[in-house]
Amino acid sequence: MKAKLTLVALAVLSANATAANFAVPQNIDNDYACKRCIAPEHSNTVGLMTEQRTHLDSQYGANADIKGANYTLYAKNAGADNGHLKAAAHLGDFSLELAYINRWNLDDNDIGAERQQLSAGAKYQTQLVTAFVNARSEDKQGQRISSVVNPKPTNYLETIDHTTQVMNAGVQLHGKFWNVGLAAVNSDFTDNAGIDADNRAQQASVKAGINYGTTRLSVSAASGKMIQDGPIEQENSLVPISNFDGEVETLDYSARISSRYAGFKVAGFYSYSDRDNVSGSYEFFDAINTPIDTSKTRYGVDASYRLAGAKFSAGFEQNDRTRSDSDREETQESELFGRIDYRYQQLNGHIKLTSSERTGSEYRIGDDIFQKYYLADRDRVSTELGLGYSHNKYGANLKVTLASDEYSNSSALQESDEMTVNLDGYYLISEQMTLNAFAGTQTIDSLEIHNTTVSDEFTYFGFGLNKYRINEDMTLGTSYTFSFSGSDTSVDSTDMGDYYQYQHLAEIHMDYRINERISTRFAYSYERNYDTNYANQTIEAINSIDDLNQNYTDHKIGVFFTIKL
Amino acid sequence: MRILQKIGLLTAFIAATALSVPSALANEAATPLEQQLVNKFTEANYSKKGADTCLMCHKKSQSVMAIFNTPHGNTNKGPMAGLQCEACHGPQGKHKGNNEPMLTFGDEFSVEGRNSVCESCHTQEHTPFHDQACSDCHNIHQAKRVAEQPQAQCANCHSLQATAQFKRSTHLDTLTCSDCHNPHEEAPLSVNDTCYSCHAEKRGPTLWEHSPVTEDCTTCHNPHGSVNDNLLNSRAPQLCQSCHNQAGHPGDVHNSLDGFTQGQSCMNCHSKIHGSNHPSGHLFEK
Repeated sequence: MKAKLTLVALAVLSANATAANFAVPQNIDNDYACKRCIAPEHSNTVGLMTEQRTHLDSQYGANADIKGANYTLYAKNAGADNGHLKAAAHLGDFSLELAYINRWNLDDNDIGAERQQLSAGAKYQTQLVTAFVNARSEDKQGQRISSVVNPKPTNYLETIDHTTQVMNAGVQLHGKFWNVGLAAVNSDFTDNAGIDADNRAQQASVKAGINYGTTRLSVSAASGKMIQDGPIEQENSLVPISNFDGEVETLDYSARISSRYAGFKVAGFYSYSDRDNVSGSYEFFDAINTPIDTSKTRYGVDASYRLAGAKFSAGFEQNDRTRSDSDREETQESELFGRIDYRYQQLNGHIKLTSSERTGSEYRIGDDIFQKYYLADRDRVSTELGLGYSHNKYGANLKVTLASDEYSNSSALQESDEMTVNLDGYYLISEQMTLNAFAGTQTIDSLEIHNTTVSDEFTYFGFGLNKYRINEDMTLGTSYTFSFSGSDTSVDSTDMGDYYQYQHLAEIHMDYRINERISTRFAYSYERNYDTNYANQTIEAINSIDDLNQNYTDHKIGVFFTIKL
Repeated sequence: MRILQKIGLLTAFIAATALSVPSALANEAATPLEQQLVNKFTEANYSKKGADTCLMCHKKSQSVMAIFNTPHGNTNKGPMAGLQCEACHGPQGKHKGNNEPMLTFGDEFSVEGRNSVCESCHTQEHTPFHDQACSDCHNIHQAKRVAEQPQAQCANCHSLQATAQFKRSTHLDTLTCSDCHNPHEEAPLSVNDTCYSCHAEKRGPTLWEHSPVTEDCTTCHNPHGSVNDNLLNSRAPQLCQSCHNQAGHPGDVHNSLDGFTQGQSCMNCHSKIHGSNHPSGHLFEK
């Protein structure tokens, strides 16, 4: 810690320098005609795409990039999985926007969900006022794994059929050096399958900002509610309520001030978030439900000083939390960091050191009970080192991060160490061809009591070769990525078996311009995906789902046509 | 690991000392190039015909002319209604003919220097704390002001988060950074609110609450990605046991193929782990 303070002190005490200020001058008269200020004509395009796959469904979609005097239309693979479409119109200070977004995320066993989101928005914007209203509706459908005890635990696939509708509106006034705004949001959630309880949330917020020279101040406050008001299953005559009227009142404040002077930048921030659960407490047959209140306070200062090619930064941050009905109702965490960035010609580097400590109020558990890891005392240190070199033709970056968490002796989780290395580089083989490559690895080793170790490992590497121009009308590109995720656990010296997932993804594409108006892309990709699910072995005690492994090879051919209108 | 940290601390101290001394002696504001620009700004030798002078040569560049398809290219308001190109790139001086340098928004200029131009009109800045030039992410000459692949810009600094896209479970396959983060705003303290914007079913409040779930989703999940299923920080039962090591079940050491380690592990029975609304759901079993 001393070292960090020393280096900051060194920086602060060194030469008094002035920083370059290139603010746009306001006092220079001009009266330009600007005959050459003419917008280049936008090429409107439309297109079609299809992807034929051996392993997944075929995809068909439409593309468009059309700009008129008062409207725009943009579509990317609209109609296909993960496609989107946006249409906007504007007349004077008014604008309207309609959008459709698809997000598809299902695995090989059809576990996951597809989201389809429709939104409509209107905006009025002048130099002084911005006012907006947006409405959004999202349907989410798919399957997730659940389990029921009947009489022995039985895993099954549960239907996801959710609708979430959100409406938000706001108005903002902005002057030359200030802005102030009000906004409100309402969100309604419905489970069409009747599994999760319906709920709604509302929030109103106010925000303001002011600039005074190079000093900025921004403040915000928000107040809201989260409501879940629904019937309670009457499993017997002892259930004390027929309806649970659940409600959390939320309150958030934040403020941030930052200032620059010469090579200095100083910032301070404060934020507070309170979740007050005002739901009732009732005596049920087995237990009494106790609504949980939480609050979080975060504040800190940070400063940086730039001198020639070097920049010195340091900061302090305090994170305090409270939660009711807990083993430990208050925790406090303080963090200190120091960082040096240095640039010398094409070389740049940085080193960042962070140290934090978490402590808190007394535990309300017996000495023979181990503490929960997210409440226990913890010391955390991390070091980040970055090195980079960039040249017109080639460059490389290396980043190494080491982090270590040590928990108090009475915590269930004892320690966790993390190491990450990322490396990337590029090389301009010729004016038309760029090679980029990347690789990285991460290990996270944790130790729990009963001599339980968990070793998570993640490795990836790949390269891309872009825009190899064969002739004026034809270019080629290719890429390859490999990734591996693994986890290995040993409990009291017994190896519990590892699970892992890997993927090879190779792609090659060719862009070909048939004539001035029509161009095409042909693409082929190969995917080899493997994922174990180690914990799904057949045993007598439970009924698990037969097969959760994933093991497939997918060949995909894509054809894209683009026509200039 | 601890020894590595100490070595790191020592290295930083030596580096700080080594770098600070020559820097302090140099006593200059910025690079010589930046100083040259400061002098040009002081001389304020602006062109008599504004953009028309610049475009005599630069009209050929599509990327320069593209600004006229953007709000910054509007000749009725903003920079093009004022000093035009020179509003941001500085006074022409002896650029024409002698090729005197202009403010190009490249790495050769300090972040402060580059941002001082944008901050003449815009009040926003990158938070939380670290210096970032506006132009690192925004190319104002392009109609799409943020670069084509905004996540690639974020990845320049946030590589640890960005590489999570290759992990076994990840949010980055269908989401981009800006779906959850606003780089111009302080991260919200109630992290859960960000999660609820897509996972509204977790909002509650439920009749029976699970304390870490209510407090912070990231107690158990890493939103960027994980080598474990469902973005979990660790696999079950070890994740559960990092809090519930003495859960009251027979034996706390689960090292055999049984209902504690197979299938959904602890969630074989405690399936409503995010909270329950059932009268008998205080152990999250129903």
